[in-house]
Amino acid sequence: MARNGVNVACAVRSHRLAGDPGYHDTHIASCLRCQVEAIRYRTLLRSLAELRTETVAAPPALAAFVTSGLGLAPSVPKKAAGVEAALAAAGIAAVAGAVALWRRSLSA
Amino acid sequence: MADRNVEEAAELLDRARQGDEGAFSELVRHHQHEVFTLALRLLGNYELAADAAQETFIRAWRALPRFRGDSALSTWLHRITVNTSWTLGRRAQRHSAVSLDEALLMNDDSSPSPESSAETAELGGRLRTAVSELPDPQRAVVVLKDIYGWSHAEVAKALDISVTAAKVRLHRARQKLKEKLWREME
Repeated sequence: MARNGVNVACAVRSHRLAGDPGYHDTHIASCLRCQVEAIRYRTLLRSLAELRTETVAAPPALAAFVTSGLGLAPSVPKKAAGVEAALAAAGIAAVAGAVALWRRSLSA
Repeated sequence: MADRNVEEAAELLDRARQGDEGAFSELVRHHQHEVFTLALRLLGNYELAADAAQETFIRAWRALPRFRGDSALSTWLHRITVNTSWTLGRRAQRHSAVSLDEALLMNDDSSPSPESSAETAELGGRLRTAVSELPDPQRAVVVLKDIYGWSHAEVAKALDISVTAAKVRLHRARQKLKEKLWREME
């Protein structure tokens, strides 16, 4: 059974090979059309993986723009300083509370 | 030598986490090309990719105190790049001023390996064009899975789609690429 000159069995294998280029079965082992298809998918994947090593040079001003923008972003020390200030204020409040309770217990 | 570089990178990261802007700027200079390349591959637009790369580093600076080092810094930056590019890409409806393929041709600073043949180079050139011509959702999946080696689950999570949807998109994208690459040769 053929559709557009392609055997249905081959079309099914082509579909499977798109998802898994390493797929292999007895039909593929005996079908030249499917073997070519398998090689094409494996070549495609290998070529795509090779693109990983290519880099495009970032615009020259990128790093400078980022650095100038850091001051506008909430920076780490400011956050840390905020947390420290909050902890210090909580500590002072706790000590003041303890002193007040101690004085009240003395006067009672 | 390699150990020394790793130590220096770790020290730089540590200083940046403590709020040292100079150390973070050094990290930006080191990772800017890789971040920009990923953004360009995802967005297919030079100017938009530059915006995405800039936004990525600003977001990274803000999130640096939460970075625990479970993954490599580059992997962490890639995740932020994908999220940022996806957000900017959805926001921008304009067409690219410079196509991905043109940008890669203008800026390709990779040196070919000795064994690379003219045929491989030709296939690579046609492949870059074919990838840049894919619809955005399919291109994103191919870039992350087949170029950057992410798992289906990682791709699905980053693009906020199901694993099945990611597999279907990848499947269709590969079929399109294969047809485009070899149709001309037949």
